[in-house]
Amino acid sequence: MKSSLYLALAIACEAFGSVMLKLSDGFAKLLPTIGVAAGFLTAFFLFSLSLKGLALSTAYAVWSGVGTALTVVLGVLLFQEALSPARLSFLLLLVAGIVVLTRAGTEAKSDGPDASAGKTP
Amino acid sequence: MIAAYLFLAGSIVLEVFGSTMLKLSNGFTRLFPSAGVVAGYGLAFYLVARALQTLPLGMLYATWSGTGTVLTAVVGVLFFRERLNKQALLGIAMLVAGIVGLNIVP
Repeated sequence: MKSSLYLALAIACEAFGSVMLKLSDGFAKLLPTIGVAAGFLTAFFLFSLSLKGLALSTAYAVWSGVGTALTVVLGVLLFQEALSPARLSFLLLLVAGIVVLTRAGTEAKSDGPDASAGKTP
Repeated sequence: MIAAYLFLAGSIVLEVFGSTMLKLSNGFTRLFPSAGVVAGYGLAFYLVARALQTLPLGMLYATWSGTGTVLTAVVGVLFFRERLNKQALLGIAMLVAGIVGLNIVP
């Protein structure tokens, strides 16, 4: 669905912005700083487009969750940041939560025949 | 110290306000909600920056993100009449727990 695609792109742009934020060295370097602005502004705009077709409660939770998880993973891969066993466990809990949330409402065992997880009526 | 917590609380409320305006802006096509987005998020980021002068980043981000996500879900249900079944609520709880843990655990 188009809205989900916008959400995915918004999250990717935000992750890009976060990486640029790290590379900008406290907004000291020009090119990364421009990247921060471009990344976050585009992310916001794309997120607003996704909200035309998604419930705010689920879209925001997915944005928040995937964004955080992606930032952690990119920190490890690109900046060799440490990931303790405890933090890895919480990362897995986060990802599991995203899966549970995004699959809610499509399974048979929800509350009643008309239940829909986070869809606007 | 109390001021820092007030800044944090204020920034969370303003961010939820900004997200609500974002939904109402219909893709930034409606003027008043769009202005609300800019004002809400702008002020929220300023307050976060002020709170960061005192509070540690991990704890601040965990509280901000966790509380913000929960409050936004509440707004979604109460204001936009969205529906969250038990599985959706469980997913959000797990997600929030994961974000909080990631930011407060060393």
